[in-house]
Amino acid sequence: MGYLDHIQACNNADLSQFRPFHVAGQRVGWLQDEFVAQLAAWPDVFDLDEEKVTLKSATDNFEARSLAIKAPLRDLAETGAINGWRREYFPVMKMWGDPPLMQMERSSRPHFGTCSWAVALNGFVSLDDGLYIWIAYRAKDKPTFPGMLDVFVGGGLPIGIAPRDNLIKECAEEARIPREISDRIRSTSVVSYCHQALNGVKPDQVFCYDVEMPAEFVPVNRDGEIDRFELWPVEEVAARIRDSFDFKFNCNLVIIDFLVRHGYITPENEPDYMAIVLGLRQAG
Amino acid sequence: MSYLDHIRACNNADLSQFRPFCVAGQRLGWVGADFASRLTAWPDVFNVGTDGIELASRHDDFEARSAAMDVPLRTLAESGVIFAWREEAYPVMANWGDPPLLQMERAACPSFGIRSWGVHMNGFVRLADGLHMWVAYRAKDKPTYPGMLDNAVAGGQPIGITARDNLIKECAEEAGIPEDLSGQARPVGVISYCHQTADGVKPDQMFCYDLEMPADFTPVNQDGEIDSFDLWPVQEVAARVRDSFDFKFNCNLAIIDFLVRRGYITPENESDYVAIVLGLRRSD
Repeated sequence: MGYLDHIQACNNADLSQFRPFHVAGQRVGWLQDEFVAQLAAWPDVFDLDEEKVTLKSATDNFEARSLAIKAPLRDLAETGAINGWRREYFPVMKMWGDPPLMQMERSSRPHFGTCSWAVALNGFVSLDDGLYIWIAYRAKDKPTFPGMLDVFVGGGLPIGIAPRDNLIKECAEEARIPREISDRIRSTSVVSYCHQALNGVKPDQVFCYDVEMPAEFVPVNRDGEIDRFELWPVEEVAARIRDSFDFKFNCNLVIIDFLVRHGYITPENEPDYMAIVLGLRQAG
Repeated sequence: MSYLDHIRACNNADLSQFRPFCVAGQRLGWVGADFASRLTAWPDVFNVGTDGIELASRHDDFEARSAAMDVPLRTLAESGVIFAWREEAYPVMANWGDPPLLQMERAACPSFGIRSWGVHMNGFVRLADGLHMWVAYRAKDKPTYPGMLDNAVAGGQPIGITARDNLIKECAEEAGIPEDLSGQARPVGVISYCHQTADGVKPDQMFCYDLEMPADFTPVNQDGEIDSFDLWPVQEVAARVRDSFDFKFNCNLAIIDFLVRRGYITPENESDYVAIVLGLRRSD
C-alpha cells in the first residue's frame, strides 16, 4: 500500500447514494435513504421529497432552527438510531466563515452529512539523531475508533470557540500540556475529505497545527480518552502510516500533511507526490 | 482587496471558451477558437474540429509527436502568434508522474492550454527583529511580467530534470546561491491553479520550497532575468501580497502558502482561511 491509499480511504463517499439536506435554502448535508425514512415521523420539522430533505422552520433564525431539530434528534438518540449523544453542540453552515445556520448535537452530524470542523496537533521533538513525533493510543473503551493510533492532540470544534482556543483546551485535557508550551503552537494548514462510514457522511475540514515540544516534556492524559503516548522517530511514523491502517482514518492525512510540509515526502521519493499533496485538500 | 482575490485571479479561466486538445486519446490541454483556426494550416498534424483538436494519430510516439508539432510551432512563433520563444522544451502529459507523450517549446504551452510545472522558492532569513523574506524584482526587459515582484527563486520545469535539480540550477542562475546552500532547500508542497491570459490557459502546478538563508548572504542575479533583490520583513511581504497585484500572479500563491504554513495567516486572523487554504491547491 502507499500514502495515496489513505487519501482514497478518507474520500470513499459515494454521494449518489445520499439525498441533499437543505437548511435556509442552502445544501448543508447529505442523508441516507434509511435515515430519511425515520425523519418522516416529524412532518412539521422535515419536508421530505425524492430530491431532497428540507428543514422547515416557522421562524427562520439560528435559535428557531436549532430548537426545531433538537426534539427529533433526542428521540432518535433514545431509540438508538443516533449513537453516542454527548451534549456537545456543533455549528451547521455550508462553509467555514459563514454565520452558523443552527447548531446540532455532535453525534447526529454524520447522519445529516453536515460539514464539521476539527483541530489536530503534530507535536515533534528535535533530538540529536533526528526528528521525533508524539503518537497517542486511543483508549480501548472510547466509543469511536477504540485502541487506534492518533495524532498527539486533536478534537472536534464545538460551536462558540475559536480553533486555537479549542486546541489549547484539548492540549491541557488530553496531554496536560501547560500554557507556556501550547502558546507556541503554530497553525499550518487544513486537510479536508469526504468520508463515508456506516452512520453516514463526514465531509470534514481539519485545522492542522505544529508544535515543537521540549525534549524533557512527557505528556500525560487527563480525560481518560488516551491510553498512553509514545515518541517515535519520524521515519517510523512515516512507515507505519504508509504501510498500515493502524491510525484513525483522518490522522493519516494530518501526519501526511506534516511529512509533506517538513520535506519528508518529496517529489523525488514519492511517485504519487502530486496526487497526495492535492488529495489532502478536497474542495467542500 | 484580500488574499482570496489572488486565488480568484489565478483561477480566472473560463474553460467553456476553449476546446479540448487531445493526444493519444487523452485530453492534455485547451485551445481557443482563434488559435484553433491557425492550426488548420497543418491538416497532417492537427485534426481541428468544432468539439476539439487532436494531434493526428499517425504521430504515435514521443519522438514522432514532438517532431510533428515542431514545424507548426516554429512557424507560429515567427509570425508572432506564439510569443517569447526560448528554445526550452517542456514535457507534455496529463499528470505529474506520467511518462511524457511529447515535448513542446515552453512558449507554446499556454496556446495549447498544456499543464506545465515549475519550482518556487521562498528564501527567508531570521533576524533579531523577526522573519524576513527575499523578494526579487523581475528585469524590466523580461518578456513575461517585466518589472513585477517575484519569489526569491522560481522557474519553469523543463523536460529531463528532477524538480530538485531544477531548483538548484535556478538558485545558481537567478540568485547566485551556491549548491551547498541551495541543497538545504526543503520541499514543502504544491500550489496549483487554472489561469487564463491573452495567450491561452495555464493549468499549472508549482512545487514549493523553503530555504532559510544566512543573514550575511545576499543573492546576486547571474542570468539578467532579475534586476535586484530586497529583504523585507515578513509582515511587509504579507501586506504587499494582500493589498496589491504587484507580484507576478502565481508568486502570490507561493507566498500565501508560506504564510499559511508558518502560521502568519491563521483561522483567527483571516475570515476566509479555509477558502484560501483549499484554494491554493486546485485539483482537476
